[in-house]
Amino acid sequence: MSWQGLKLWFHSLASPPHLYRFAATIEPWLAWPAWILLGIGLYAGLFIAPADYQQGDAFRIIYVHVPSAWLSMAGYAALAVASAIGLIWRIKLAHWVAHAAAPIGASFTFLALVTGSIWGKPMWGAWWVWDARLTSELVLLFLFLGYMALAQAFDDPRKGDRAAALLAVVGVVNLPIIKFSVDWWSTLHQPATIAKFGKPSISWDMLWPLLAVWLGATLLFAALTLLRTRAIILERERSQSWVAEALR
Amino acid sequence: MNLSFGVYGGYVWSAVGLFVFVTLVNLWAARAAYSRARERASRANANNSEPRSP
Repeated sequence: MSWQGLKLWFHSLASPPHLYRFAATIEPWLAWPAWILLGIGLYAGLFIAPADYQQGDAFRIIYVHVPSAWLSMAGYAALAVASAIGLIWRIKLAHWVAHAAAPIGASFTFLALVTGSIWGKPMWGAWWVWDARLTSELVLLFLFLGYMALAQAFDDPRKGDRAAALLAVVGVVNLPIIKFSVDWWSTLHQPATIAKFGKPSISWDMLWPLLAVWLGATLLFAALTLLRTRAIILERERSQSWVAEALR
Repeated sequence: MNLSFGVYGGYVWSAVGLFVFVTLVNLWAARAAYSRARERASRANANNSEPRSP
């Protein structure tokens, strides 16, 4: 495909009927590998990976905690980028993709907080501490919830789109705070284990199941976002003639 | 296969169980939202295509 062709294809994604059909085509190709990777990764993480020499079997919570924490931040970054595109270029579909990603991102943020808390109790002796990493992650959950509430708070959905998008863009400031909180402040939460530019401080036997769950969860996030985007497209465009054809 | 994970079993299974549960709820919610939107769009289209009285 030429550069011009690629540009045309990308622009065509701003058209609701095109994105609706494109999402329907690509969705199973994301969802099935996602479930397979999640199954393999969780099985290997729980039953094949060796126990940690310090934390014992409690370390296995990493296989659900780290992918959840990653998706909470990546999900918010995707939501903010889509919101910025919607605000700057006034592409309504970008707002709808952001709306679709919000509840999924919120659920993974909730998972990151709760699985972290479950991990914290045996390791730190406390379910919760007002540590910089935990507190900034909690703020992220409030940002997701605020985004969803604001998007629904107006009679005119376009006003809701813009107000929520503004909140999403401003909230991006929280992402580097979450990421670097463990370096900037003295926190109980451990520093980066996997996302190091040098050698990760985790053995390959423990790492590969984590990468499988991480990739599976990311693909599932994308598949669910596309499914929700299709739902929003149908809701907002239901009076359009192309919808009747698409539903046949 | 060690299913108990020693003294940490309760913590590990709670975390994994919650992750699986929330993931499945996410799937169910997305599918429900799509079915609902499809149904509403079908109804709206059926109303639009009904012949109007003069």
